[in-house]
Amino acid sequence: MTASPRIGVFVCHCGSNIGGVVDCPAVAQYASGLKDVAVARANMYTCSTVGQEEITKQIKEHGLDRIVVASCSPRLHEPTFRRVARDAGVNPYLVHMVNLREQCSWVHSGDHASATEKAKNLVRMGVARVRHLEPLNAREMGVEKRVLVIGAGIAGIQASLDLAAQGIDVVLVDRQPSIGGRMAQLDKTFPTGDCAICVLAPRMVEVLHTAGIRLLTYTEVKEVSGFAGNFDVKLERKARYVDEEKCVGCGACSEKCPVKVPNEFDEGMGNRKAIYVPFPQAAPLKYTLDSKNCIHFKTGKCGLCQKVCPVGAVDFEMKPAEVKLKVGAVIVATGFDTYVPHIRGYLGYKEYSNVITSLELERLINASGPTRGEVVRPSDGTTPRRVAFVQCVGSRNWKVTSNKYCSKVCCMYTMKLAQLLKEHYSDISASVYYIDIRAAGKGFEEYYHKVRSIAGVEYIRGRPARVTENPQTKDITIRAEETLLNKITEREYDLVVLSVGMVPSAGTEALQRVLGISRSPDGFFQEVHPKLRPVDTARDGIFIAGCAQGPKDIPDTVSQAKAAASSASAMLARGTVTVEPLTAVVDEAVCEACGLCVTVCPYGAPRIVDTKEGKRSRIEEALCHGCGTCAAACPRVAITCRGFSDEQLASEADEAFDGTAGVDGR
Amino acid sequence: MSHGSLPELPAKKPAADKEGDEAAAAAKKADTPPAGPLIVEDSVFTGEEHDPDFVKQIIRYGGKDVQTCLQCGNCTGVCPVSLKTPYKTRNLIKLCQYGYKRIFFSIPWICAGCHRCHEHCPADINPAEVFVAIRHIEVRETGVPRFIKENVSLILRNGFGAIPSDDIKRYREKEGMDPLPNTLPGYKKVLGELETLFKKTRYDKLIGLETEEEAGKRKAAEEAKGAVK
Repeated sequence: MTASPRIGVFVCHCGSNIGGVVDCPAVAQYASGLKDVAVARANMYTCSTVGQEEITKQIKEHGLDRIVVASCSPRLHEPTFRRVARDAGVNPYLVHMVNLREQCSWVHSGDHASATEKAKNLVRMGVARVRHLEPLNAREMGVEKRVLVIGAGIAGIQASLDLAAQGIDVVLVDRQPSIGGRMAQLDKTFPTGDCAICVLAPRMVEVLHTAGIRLLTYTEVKEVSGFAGNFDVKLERKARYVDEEKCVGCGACSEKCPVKVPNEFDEGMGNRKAIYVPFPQAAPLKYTLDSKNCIHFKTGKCGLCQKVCPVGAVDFEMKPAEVKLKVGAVIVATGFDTYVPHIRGYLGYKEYSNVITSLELERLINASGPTRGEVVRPSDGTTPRRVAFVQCVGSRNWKVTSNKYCSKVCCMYTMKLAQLLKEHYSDISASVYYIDIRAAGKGFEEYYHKVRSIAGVEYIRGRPARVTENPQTKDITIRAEETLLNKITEREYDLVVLSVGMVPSAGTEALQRVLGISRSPDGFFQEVHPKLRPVDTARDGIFIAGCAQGPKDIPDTVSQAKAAASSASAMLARGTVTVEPLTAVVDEAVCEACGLCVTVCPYGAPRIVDTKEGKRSRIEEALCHGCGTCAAACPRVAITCRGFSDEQLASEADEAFDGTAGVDGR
Repeated sequence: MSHGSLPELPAKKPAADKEGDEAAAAAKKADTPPAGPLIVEDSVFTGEEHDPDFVKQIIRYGGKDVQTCLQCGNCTGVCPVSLKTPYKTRNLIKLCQYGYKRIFFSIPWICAGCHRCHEHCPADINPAEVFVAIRHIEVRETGVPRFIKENVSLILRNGFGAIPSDDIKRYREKEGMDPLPNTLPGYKKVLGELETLFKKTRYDKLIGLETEEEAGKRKAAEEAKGAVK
């Protein structure tokens, strides 16, 4: 250091947050007497425009080259004060924040004199540290203008279309043979009664015909490495045994296929062949061969599909293929599964044939479903006359399942299904066993009103206690306390529908490991901030949308998909990402390439490289989070964390102990 | 209705006592629980019954936090005694939530302790344990119910808690047996040990054991008053 530094200290009152406890003018007065401090001021709100202008003014007036702001946590306003310094011509990394609020006034509100004394000490330590800070420059790195969207339900489709509309390339992957997700399974949508597939199918077709979207169905994400703006992605295209390029979707193969297995898309209510498309509107309309159930794969015989295919698309030798990509951002839209009410002896699901789930009823009532829209009892194929719905199955349960949350959509879809039943069959009765009805949403309460009055759906407040089957008629009896009557009733129904809640989709846990993002206790992916950053994850450049983040309905899912697309495009539109310079750096003259840093780093930033002087460790700045683990672990003290060097930290500690700590500058 | 947390129903009262007809009538009445509101009173609640500390007190006595109850009624539905009492499990938990402690002391509520409600409760409350806690609270605050005093006293005196009814005594004699089972000679030593145990643990003080003489006097006094029903 050639000339001695000129330090400015700004002590913030933060209204009464700090000023009500700490004597701020006295702290400023004290600071002005410290070595190298050119000016010290106390402000009411340093973060306000007036406060910021004061800093700029003092920088100009006193020729300040280092700034100490004694105010709140750096998590709140460090970016603000760095920007002020930069705009006034001071390197932003020569600003140091002293936390007088969270670490002083808020915790010592009972003792004003001692709090003021501690504030003086903290400021003195900050001044000592800022003296040793070095100017740093944030690096800008280029970004890959391409986004990987995982999951092609309505969320993934919407996000992809929005991104493509902004000229950003999209790779849309789904592990199912067709896009469309859960929404494609539904019949109508609440509260408007729109046909789900009628509004979804045009979007699916648009995905197929948008030039900027590369669609990879029947594909799993295997690896995502790298960092925001520059992710390296490995995908696995599962063997479809049908050449997508050749297949014209004529269906000749499926017609001839002798194997019938339950169709997953119909929730097992109908059958499909071993070579199949899951539903008529499937996109892409390419057949998929399910090798687990195919006779050819079991016995080596049959091969009918291959014989009848007019274009020779069936290929029994097909192997899974790996696809490598570079993308700038990732949007996770992996959706949900429905809860499986598996508890034996409680609601009778899978024990009594006439107890079904709501999604199974969706498939029955759907015109493209296995019964072409006829609702029938699984036991005998007759039309039910008395139908009961049971709410909160797999939701709001702190005991039997771990799903403590409300799945948000069940109240509404039950209203829709009950109303549809009433529309289809005039003499049907529908009863809903509920605990609470949650109809908060645009038009939802009005819909509830309509379902009760016009459709005449009966609402019974009480959670069923016992569900039993008449072995002869297969009718189902529900015993429950009707809590509003204070009566225990046993009522008989032809069909019982369990309104099952949402759970994270099956691959969520595996994908969490691949992506390195966190999940909340309910198992869904966790957003960074529930209010202000609802689609961001803790890993920069990875965003979440739709039911992967938590249960929600279609409008909310679409809104969130649009938000995720907007966040991703905002990041990519700038063309560069800023890489924080507060990273670890290796002194290659000292490094012996022991590799300990490589082992301890949680982000995979250090690598052993060959240099002219032999093997050395080198840290990829863009990957480094500046956590300091490697610096602490390095046995040769070859690694320094910028902004947290031993000298910088020791100078601060020395001041704390009046220079008696014996810190030797290591 | 008598005071004390008598976990027994009017219907279960021995039909062999003097007012047999009256007991049968009471039993018949109890079989058809009143519809409508839970507490049929000729006055409205004034808030005096409310004890804001009741929820916390239940927790102190080993129950769970009843505030999380959703009032879904699953407990009542699975309760084996719910059809025989107007005081449904769900209602009782609601009374806890409201802090109506004293109502518990004045109604003949019942819990068999089977824990089925616990198995089903989605809010993971254990109503059966809550009721155990309430029994503890009631004993602390209003004393031990008379029937427990009687039964424990009988155990110490006779080696069993219930005296056979006159019918059974006659039947035993007809079969050539002693009217009372002669448990005393065989268990005399054990009874002595039991007494020591009761005394050392001050259980006798807690329960307020009564001698045969005392019991006889009390019964005579009660009969004189016509208080026994």
